[in-house]
Amino acid sequence: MSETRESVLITRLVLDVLKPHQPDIVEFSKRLAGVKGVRRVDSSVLEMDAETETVKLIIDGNDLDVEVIGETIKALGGAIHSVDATVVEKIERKR
Amino acid sequence: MVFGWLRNRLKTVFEVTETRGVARRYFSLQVFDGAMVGVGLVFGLHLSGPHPFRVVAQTVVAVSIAMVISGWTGALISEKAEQEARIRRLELATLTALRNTLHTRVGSIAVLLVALVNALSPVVALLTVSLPYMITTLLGGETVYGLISSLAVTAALLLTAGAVVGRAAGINVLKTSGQMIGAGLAAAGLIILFETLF
Repeated sequence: MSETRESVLITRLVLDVLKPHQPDIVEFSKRLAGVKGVRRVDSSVLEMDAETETVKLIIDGNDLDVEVIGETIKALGGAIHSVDATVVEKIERKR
Repeated sequence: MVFGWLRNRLKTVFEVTETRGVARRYFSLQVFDGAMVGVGLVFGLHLSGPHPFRVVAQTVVAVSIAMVISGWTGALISEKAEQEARIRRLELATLTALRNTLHTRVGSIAVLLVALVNALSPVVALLTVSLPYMITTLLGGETVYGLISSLAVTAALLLTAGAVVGRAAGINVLKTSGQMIGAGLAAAGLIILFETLF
C-alpha cells in the first residue's frame, strides 16, 4: 500500500516594497530571480520619491522561501511594506 | 569572462553609490594637476640644472609619493563622509537600517576606488610628463630637448584627457580638449614669464 505525503508550497507572492532608486528594478529583479525556487519576477514601479521608490513585485516559483526572499530584498536595501497576495498550492506526493 | 564580470561589478558599484561622476571629475582634475606639477617640475629642474639623473629621478619620485598620499588621503576622507551621509539619507527615507546591505558593501568599495583614481591619476600624469626629461638626462643629452619633449607630451596628454572627459560626459570633445590645452599653455607661459623676470 502506497503512502501519500502532502506539502504546502508557496508558488506566488505579491509584495509591496520600498527601495532606494539604486539598484534599479532590473538589477533588483535579477538578484531576486537568483534566489532558489524563484522562477519569475514581475516588477513595476508604483511610486517615485526623491530618494526611494515603491515597487510591486510579483514573484512566481515552485517553492518560494519567504524568509530568503525577505533577506534578499533587505540585503538590496529594500523593505517589505506588505504582502498583498499569495498563492499556495498543496501537492500530494506518493511515497 | 573575468573582464565582463569585473565590468558588471564596477557598474553596480558606481551606480548604487552614485560615484561615476565623482570618479570622472577626480580623474580629469587630477590628470590636469599632475600634468601641471610635471611641467613646473621639469621647468624647475631645467632652469636650476643641469642635474644628474639621480637627482631628477629622486625629485620626481618624491613629488609622486607626496601626490599619491595627498590624493589618497583627501579622497578617502571626503568620499567616506559622503558615503556615510548617503547611507544615513537612505536610512531615513526607507526607515530601514542599511547595515550589511549591498549599499554599505559597495559604499566601501566605491570609497577605495575613488581614492585610487584620485591618488593614481596625478602620478601617472606626472610620470608621463617627466619621463622624456628623465630619459634625456639619463642619456646625457641636451636637457632643452627633454624639456621640449616633456611639453609636447603634456600637450598630447591634456588633449587626450580632455577628449576622454568630454566623451564620457557627452559634451563637445574639442571644447574640453581645447580648454585643457589652453590652461596648460597659460601655465607654461606664466612659468616662463616668472622665470624670465626673476
